[in-house]
Amino acid sequence: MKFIWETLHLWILLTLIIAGGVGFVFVQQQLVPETYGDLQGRYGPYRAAALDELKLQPEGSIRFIADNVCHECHESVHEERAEAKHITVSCVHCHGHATEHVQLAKAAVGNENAVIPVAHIWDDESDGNATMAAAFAKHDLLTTEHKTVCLSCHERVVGMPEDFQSIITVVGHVDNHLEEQGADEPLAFNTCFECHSGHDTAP
Amino acid sequence: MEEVPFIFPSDEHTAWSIMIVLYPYITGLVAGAFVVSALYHVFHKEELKPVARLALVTSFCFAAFATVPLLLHLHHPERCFQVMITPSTTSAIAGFGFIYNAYMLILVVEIWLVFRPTIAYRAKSHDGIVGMIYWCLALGCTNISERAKAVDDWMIKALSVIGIPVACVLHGYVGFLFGAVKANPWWSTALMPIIFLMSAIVSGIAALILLYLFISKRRGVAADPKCVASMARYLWLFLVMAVTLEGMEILHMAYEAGSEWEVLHELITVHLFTSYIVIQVLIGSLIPLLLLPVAFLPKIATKPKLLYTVSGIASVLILIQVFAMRWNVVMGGQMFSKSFRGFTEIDLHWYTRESPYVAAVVMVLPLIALWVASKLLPLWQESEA
Repeated sequence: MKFIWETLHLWILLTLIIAGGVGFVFVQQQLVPETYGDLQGRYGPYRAAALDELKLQPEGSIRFIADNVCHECHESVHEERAEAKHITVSCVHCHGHATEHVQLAKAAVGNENAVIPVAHIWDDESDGNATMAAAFAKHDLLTTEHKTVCLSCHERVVGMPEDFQSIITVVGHVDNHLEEQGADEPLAFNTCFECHSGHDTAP
Repeated sequence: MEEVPFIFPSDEHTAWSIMIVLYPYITGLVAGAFVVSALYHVFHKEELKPVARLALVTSFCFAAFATVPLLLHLHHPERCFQVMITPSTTSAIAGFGFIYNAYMLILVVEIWLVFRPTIAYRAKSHDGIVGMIYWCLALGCTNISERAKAVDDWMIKALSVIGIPVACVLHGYVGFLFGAVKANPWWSTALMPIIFLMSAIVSGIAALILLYLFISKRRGVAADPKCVASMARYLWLFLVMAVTLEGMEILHMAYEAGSEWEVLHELITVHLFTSYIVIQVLIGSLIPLLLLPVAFLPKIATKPKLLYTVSGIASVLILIQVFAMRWNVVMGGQMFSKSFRGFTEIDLHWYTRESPYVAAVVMVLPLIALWVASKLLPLWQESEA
C-alpha cells in the first residue's frame, strides 16, 4: 500500500497515457472512412469510393477534363482517333486543360445564342518566343501544329522503349528524320504535319 | 558522338525546398541533444551534469517544431493526420508518425520526472493561478519523498535507456527515407541512416556547447570547463566517425566508378563545389577536426578561455557543416536528372512559405520555446527551487 502511495504520480501518469492511447484508437476508428480499402484490399489502402465523392464536387473545382467529355461534342475527332495510335493520348495533352471551355460549352446547351470562344492558335509566330509550358499555362484551350508538342513525346531519350516511334534529335532539331523523309520545309514549325496529322498519325 | 545534355521533364524543377533540408537538420539536433543527456543519465558521465537538463529540454523544444518544415512544404497540411489515421504498412513516412510520437512521449515523461521535484515544490509554495498551473503539471500529486525520488530516478534511467534506440531510430529513419530511393544514386545507400545519425549526434553536441556557452555568458556565470572539455571531446569523436562515413561513401562510389559516377563526379566538383568541397569538407569538417583536439590537452581545464573559444568556433563551423551536409544531400539529389545527362538549377522559392526567410523563422522558434521553458523550469541544478 505504501509503495502505491509513494508511486501514485506514476500510476496517474500511466492512467493518462492509457486513456490517451484508448482515446486515439477510438478517434482513429471514427475517422477511418467506411470505404477505406473497399476493393477487398486488392489495391491496398486505395479507396475507390473517393472517385464518386470527387464527382460531387462543384463545377468550378474541376481540374481535369477526360476525353469522353470532349467527345460529347467533338464526335468526328473521336471517330478519327478510334483506330489511331494517338487514342492513348488525352485531349488535354495537346489542347490545354480546357476547363473554361467545357464550362462554357455545358452552359451553352439549349442556348442557340451562346458564343463559345474559339481555341487559341499557338505557334512561335503568334506567341513570340513563348515556350510550350508557358503557352499551356496561359491558354485555356489551344490548337497547335508546332513540332515542339510532337517532340515532347517523340524525342528519343534514355530509357525509351525500342519499339516506340521516337526521333533522334540534335538540340531539338530533327534533321536526320526530315532528310530521310524528304520534307519540303524542314525548318517550318509545323513540318511534322507535312506527313502526319495530330489525331490520326498515319503513316 | 558528343554527349548532349538532357534532363527528363519531371527532373526540371527541384520540388523539395529548403524545408526538406531543415527537417533532417532539426531532427538531428533532437537526437544529438538527447544523446548528451543520456551520457549523463545512463553512462554516468558526471562531468556532463551541468548540461543534462538543458540537453533534455533542448531536445524537446526542437522536437516540438520538427514537423513544422514538413507542414510548410505540404500543399495540404491539414491531411497530415492521415498518416496516423490510415497508415500504410509499407510506407516509410507512415512509420514516422509512430516513431515521432513514441519519442515525444518518452521525452515528455522523462522531462516531467526530472523536473517533478521542482514542479511539486512550486505547486505547494505558490498560490493563485501560478500554483494551479504547477499543481496541474504535477498531476495533482506533490509527494517528493526520498522513496518517490528514488523511484523517479530509476524511471529516468530506464527511459533514457529506451530513449537512446528510439532517438537513433527517429533519425536513422530520416536517413532511411533518402537511402531507400533506389532511383537516385546520390541517396541510395544503406550507409545513409548511419551517416545521418552520426551527423545528428555531432550537430546536437555542437548546438549544446554553443547554447551552454551563450546562456552561461548571459547569466553571468562561468561555464564549467570540465563539462565543455568533455562535450568537445565527444564532439571530436563523433565528428571523426561522421566525416569518415561521409568520406568513405564518396570514396566507395568513386572507386567503384559505376555508370552513375560520371554525373556524381560533376555534381560534386562543379555544381556542389562551394557547398560540398569548400563548406562541408574544408571549412566545416577539416578545421574543427584540427581545432577540437585542443580539448584533449592535459591541463586544458585551467585555460578556459582557450577552451571556450576553440569549442565555440568549432561548434559554429560544425553546425554549418551539418546544415551543408543536409543541403548537399537533399538539393544535390535533385540537381541531376535521372537521365544522368543533365543538371537543373535550384529554385529557392524566395517569395513562398518555403523561402529561406521562413526557414530562418522556423529555426528561431525552438530557441524561443527554450527561453519560455527556462522561465517555467530551472534548467540549472543550483536553482532547483
